[in-house]
Amino acid sequence: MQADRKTRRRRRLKLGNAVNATLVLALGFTTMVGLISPADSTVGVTADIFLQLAGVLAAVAVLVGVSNLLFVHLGRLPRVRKGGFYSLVVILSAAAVTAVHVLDRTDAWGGDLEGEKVGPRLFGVIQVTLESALAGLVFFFLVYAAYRLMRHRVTWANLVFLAAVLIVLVGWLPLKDWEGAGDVRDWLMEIPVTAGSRGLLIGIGLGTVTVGVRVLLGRERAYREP
Amino acid sequence: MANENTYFWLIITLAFVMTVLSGTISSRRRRLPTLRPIPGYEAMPRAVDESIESDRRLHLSPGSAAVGQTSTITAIAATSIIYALTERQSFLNRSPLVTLTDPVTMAMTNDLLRKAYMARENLTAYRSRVVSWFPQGQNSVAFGAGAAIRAKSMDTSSHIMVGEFGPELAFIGEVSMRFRQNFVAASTNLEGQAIAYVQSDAPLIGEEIFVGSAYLEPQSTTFAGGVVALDALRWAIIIAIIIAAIVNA
Repeated sequence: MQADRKTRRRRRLKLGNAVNATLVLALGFTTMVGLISPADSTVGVTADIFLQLAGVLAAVAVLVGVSNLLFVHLGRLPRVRKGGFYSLVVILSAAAVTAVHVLDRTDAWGGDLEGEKVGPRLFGVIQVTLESALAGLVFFFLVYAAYRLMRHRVTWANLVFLAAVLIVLVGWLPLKDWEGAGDVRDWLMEIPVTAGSRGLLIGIGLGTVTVGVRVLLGRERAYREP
Repeated sequence: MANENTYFWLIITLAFVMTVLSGTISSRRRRLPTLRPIPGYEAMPRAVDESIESDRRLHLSPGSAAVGQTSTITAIAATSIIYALTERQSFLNRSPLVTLTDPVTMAMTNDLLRKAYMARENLTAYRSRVVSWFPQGQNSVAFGAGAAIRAKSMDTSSHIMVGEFGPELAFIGEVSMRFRQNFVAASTNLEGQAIAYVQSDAPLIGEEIFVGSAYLEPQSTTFAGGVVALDALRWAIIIAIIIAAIVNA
């Protein structure tokens, strides 16, 4: 009896997989054909509707993301432990940004701030400054990482990488006697770096096509139950 | 003269034919193609095993790869890797930590984690809150710093960052170096890829991101078919470039 129920459940799940795969196949092909068809054709208009639906879904998903953020940090508050203070800061910041945005939309500011949009100004003062400061540290991390790379394993690829880094850094020095290094840097950037970048991008493009085909064939796990 | 659409359909058709054909041949012969070793995919199962043995978490991330945007396929490939690695350790009660910046990808990742635990009949161990969303979008340094701190606070043993990352990846790499954690990274963004190559214990480069399922779930003929299709497409492009160079010389 129980085994029978299990088999029926398995069958039902497989039927669900088939429905999902069929939907993906139909919608995927319609969208793909629509994207390369004239915009005013039936298939073009249908693809546009699908894309708009995807946009709406993405907007709703932001709410899910915000809920996740708040639940994670609210969950950390009752148990006072390491990092709990930061969770409180996150929650208060989220509330403050929401309030500022509402006040911006309703033009509720008075005095010197009348007619101003405070939200973007706050973003520029706090977020952009913090991100710029952090971005400045990336260079030092990378130099340390290159040192660690050479300590960890010395291979031809790593030696070439280190030589390229040194040439590019030296090439940027504003010294009159080192103009040759600048030329070598320019050559490196124009020929091997461009060729390598294109090679990587072509590879990524081909990878994208093969995974895309797998998705269109309905073989992706996202719409299959185990 | 062929236009862009012709090339598009040519590549899509070739990819379709190769994926279906190689998958069918492999399943009929009951023998999968031999895959060349990729250090990154050899390091990933080791990192999972180490996290199981040390009773610590894994930190997995697709970065800013986002479903519904240009990086949709990257997000799908990255979450496939997350599924395979989670499934390997889903008999435990300790879930991996997943950090990302796109809410749609977050929903998809949560579903895949659920499926990974369901596959081992251990659904009670699944916790949706282990997927952490950082509302920053692409190339956010704040995401890198935040994810690194979150991973540290959750006592992770390894960071497996495969998806779309920019320079922010350096923060997570730096934390892994400082606390002697495993770090395997790859990005479809060139800046992120350069950082991943320097900081990773075992690098993945370029299109290797998209064959993760074939390496981590080696029994699947579909995934193996994808690798064969990718190889065929690569050779087709190489031959086309050589012919174009000769013709234009």
